Amino acid sequence: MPQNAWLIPVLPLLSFVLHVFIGRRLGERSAYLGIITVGASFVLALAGLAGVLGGETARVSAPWLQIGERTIAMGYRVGPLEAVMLVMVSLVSWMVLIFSRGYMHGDARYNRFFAIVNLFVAAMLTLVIADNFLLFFVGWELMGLCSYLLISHWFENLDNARAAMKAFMVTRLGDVGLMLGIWLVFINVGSFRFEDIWSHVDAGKMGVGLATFVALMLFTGAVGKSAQMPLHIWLPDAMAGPTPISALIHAATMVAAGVYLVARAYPIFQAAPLAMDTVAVIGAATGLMAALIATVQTDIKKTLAYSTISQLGLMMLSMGVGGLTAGIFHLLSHAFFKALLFLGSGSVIHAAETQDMHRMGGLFKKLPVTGTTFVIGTLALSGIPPLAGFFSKDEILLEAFHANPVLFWLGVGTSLLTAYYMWRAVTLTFFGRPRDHHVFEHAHESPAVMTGPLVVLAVPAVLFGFLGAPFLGHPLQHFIAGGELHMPEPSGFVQGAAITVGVAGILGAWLIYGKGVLDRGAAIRVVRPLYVLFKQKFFFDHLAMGIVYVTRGVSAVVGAFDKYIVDGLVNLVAWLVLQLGNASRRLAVGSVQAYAMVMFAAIVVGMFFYVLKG
Amino acid sequence: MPDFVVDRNFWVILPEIVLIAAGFVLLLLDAFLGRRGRDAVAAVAVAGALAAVFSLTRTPVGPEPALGGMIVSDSFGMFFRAVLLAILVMVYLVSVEYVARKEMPAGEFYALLAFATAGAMFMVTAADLIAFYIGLELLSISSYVLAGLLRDDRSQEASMKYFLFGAMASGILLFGFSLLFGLTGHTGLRQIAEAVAGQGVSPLALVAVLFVLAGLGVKAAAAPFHLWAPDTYEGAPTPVSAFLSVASEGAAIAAMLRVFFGGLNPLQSEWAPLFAVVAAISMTVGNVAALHQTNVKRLLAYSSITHIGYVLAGLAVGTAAGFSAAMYYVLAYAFMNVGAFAVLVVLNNQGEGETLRDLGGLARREPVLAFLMLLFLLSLLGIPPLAGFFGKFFLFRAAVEGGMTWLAVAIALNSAVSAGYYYAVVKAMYVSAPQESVRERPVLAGVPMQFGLALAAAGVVVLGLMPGAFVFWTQVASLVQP
Repeated sequence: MPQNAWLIPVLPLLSFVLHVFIGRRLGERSAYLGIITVGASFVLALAGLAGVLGGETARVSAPWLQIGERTIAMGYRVGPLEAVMLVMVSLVSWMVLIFSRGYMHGDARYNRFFAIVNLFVAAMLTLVIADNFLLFFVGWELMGLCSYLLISHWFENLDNARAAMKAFMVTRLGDVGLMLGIWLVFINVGSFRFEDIWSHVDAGKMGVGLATFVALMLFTGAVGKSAQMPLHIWLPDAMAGPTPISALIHAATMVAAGVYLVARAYPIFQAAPLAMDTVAVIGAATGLMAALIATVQTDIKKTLAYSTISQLGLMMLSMGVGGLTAGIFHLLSHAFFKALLFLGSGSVIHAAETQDMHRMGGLFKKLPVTGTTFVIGTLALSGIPPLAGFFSKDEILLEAFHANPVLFWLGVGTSLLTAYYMWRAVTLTFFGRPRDHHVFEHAHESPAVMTGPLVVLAVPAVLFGFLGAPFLGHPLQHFIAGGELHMPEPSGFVQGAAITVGVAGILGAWLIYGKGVLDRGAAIRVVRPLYVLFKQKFFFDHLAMGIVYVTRGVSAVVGAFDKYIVDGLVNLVAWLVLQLGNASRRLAVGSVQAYAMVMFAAIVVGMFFYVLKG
Repeated sequence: MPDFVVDRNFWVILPEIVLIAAGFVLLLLDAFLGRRGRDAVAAVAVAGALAAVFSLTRTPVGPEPALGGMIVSDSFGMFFRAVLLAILVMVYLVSVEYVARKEMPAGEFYALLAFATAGAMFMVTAADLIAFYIGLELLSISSYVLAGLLRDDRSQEASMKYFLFGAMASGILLFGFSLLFGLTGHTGLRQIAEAVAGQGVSPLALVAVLFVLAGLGVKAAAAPFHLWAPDTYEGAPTPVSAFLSVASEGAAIAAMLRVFFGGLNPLQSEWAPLFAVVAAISMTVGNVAALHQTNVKRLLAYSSITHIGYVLAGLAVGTAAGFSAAMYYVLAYAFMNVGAFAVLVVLNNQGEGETLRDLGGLARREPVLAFLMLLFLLSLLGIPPLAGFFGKFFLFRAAVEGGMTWLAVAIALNSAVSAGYYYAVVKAMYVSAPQESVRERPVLAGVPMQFGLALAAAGVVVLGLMPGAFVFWTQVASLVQP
């Protein structure tokens, strides 16, 4: 029943409204509002998927606004891609909401948290089913707002507030590009609807130059939202938010919206080879760079954050080399196991009350359910067959293999590092001897409301990959592509390489951190410059701070003009007047003179303009 | 009984007559009823404004001049008169409680607002420089007094600064007008246009352009003629700040549209670049300064400079699309800015301030009010599907299609920057905690205020969801340029 798809985002929105009006009266029971409505959305999404599988699609669009002879339509569409995205988003959101009920228990702003999460879910679902850029943009911006509000959930800590601001400003930078791109598309095509845009581009009515520019502008938006180089700096800081938020927004859904945007505008990208290459190169570079940084993180959430950046990079790489279905496949499977991993880390943090992996160790005995599911997620992310990540990552590597050897080997390197840093995290957290006895003694398994979602998410982390498995004939890819599908030729070499690096990475991490065959201190001394480079995150933050300082400098100069020159004159005159003992006339008459000077100066400049113009 | 024939001139200016008559009635009522009659005065004021709205619907529309060529009742004028009356009704509703709490002289307050609006309405219908000037002075002198109606230092300072600056602006504008008269021998816009077209570009005409632009630029608070605005808006009574930021600035924009697209149309290639520069400076200066503000009233003052910059971009483009986009933006801006100021008025009514700290945790104290503020701010920021989005969208489109892509990029970049300070307000309301002293105190709004807020919110939403009809109106109006 894809026709009812409009209900899917409306239900969480309704829940948000209820939260606003009666949430506080319900106290902690308010969490059920979201759990029920998002659960209903999930059921509707499943029903929609069943309908689409049965050959139905929904394309609902109504004229909404007349500008000149152009009509702007509003509507939604549910085809194969939207249907699977709906199921993924609603399932992950549902699990995160249930998990949060336990995780956020006793929080001072419990109701606010759930209200905003509901709004977020509504926004993301809207974005998924939007059939035009306008509605898409509404969802996109609302998600940014929710993300900002949730990162600063614990705003008592100033760092959190700063992290939220950083995330907001950095993604906003990308949004400028997106907005320009959308407007340019509208001016060229005359419509915001994706279908109109696709047919317009496919008919070759958009020149290569314009298509390249538009695609790069849209990609700027995707780079901001999906934390690609060089705008990735906000995502690690965003970990300041509550962990369920990291799982939902900063791993599974919102950050994937950038990849989804590229998929939506894919015909434009395909018409612009230069833009495609840019996407691929940025994706591959981001993948490797973030994986390298992840190897030296000590904070469990930061490790996962860099891992997310790296995996999003792989998805972009796939998009850039023409592997649309492979990218979407990885987007979906990654959403399941990364949400699982983040929620698992939340459970660990809940138990250990620290995020520093060097203070953990041996927690598997204390947290059997969390530990088991976390290991499953890790194996899936590392690309160990037959778990979900193996099939989807394999496909991306295959696409890259056929496109360009350098990109392929970058992807392989990323996979090797992924397996390494993930198993390092597992070993440090769950195995070996407890390094901090206080942490170990107080650790206890989380309640069922938190472990339940872990178990549920572990199922797709294990099984989801089969939907796109080559020996079953790539059913998922055929479904998404809808009919004709060009699959790259399978390669035993690629598959072998993928398995080998996965196993090798895990083995390496086990040897170093489990067995201790390598003295860590000595090793760091040997590769000191590299270690510093990774630890300092390739100095991207310094670069960004440099830019910020320059901007601040400029704005300080402007501010100083306002403060010292303008206000200074005001104050000077006021002071003189006061000195004359005429306190009652504190009218700051002088400022008016200063203001008048500015005004007449402007007129004089205008005259010069005319004189020079002749 | 003599046969009493009321001629067409009467009907054309009926709304203004109603407003001015209502103003005198209010002054008398106040004198007779005294302080206890405040509510009655407010009720009569609202009734007077509604009567003016009703009489506007009875006003004949046509491009023929009235009152001996002084004014013209065309659809352009009707559009702005409707906008101004809508603003007046909203500001009245928003002010009722404020006037009572702050112990302001009720009769003067409402009457002066009526006179100011009548002046602004004459400005937007004027077809003659003299009529412009008279409307402008009626608006200005009423505004100077309104800004100083609070009996505290800041309000007095606001009023005095506004007066000194405004008087200077009047002088500059008159100088420009007198040059135009000297050059052409006419004060009627149509005759001026003919004469200027015949004479071609002369240095004196350019000087006139500069002075008229500067004089009206002060009224519109466009940079670099904006320096009075932040101090005045911050110190003036909050409803008055709301009125000035939309009605006074809107009337100035309308006057610019009339004078430059009408009388000075032959010189378009000369003044359009100036408008582009002023537009770009206004957007940027307003934004950069707003980023530093912690007082939301002052923040909105700077943001109004930015918005005027956007509107001026529509004028700079110089096409019919730019013309109607500027009109649409003024309409959208009227609702969202009055709404944002109204939320501050609600806080003022409780004796609270209007800094970011004062707005802290508003969402927890009064979720509905905070949500309305969010709506207004998002609209100001230009998030679809609210009014502000289409305003910006039309301007952007006009700029691109009019071949001024750099101005369109400036609009986009400035919109992005403005998110910084609008979200600071959102963050205060939704993220920060309320101040200790007011943590448990609810935020209450009286019935008139509720109507005022509802009107503003409805405007923001309706203009966003169904912009079609209003766009049509602006397009019709742009066809019959004076």
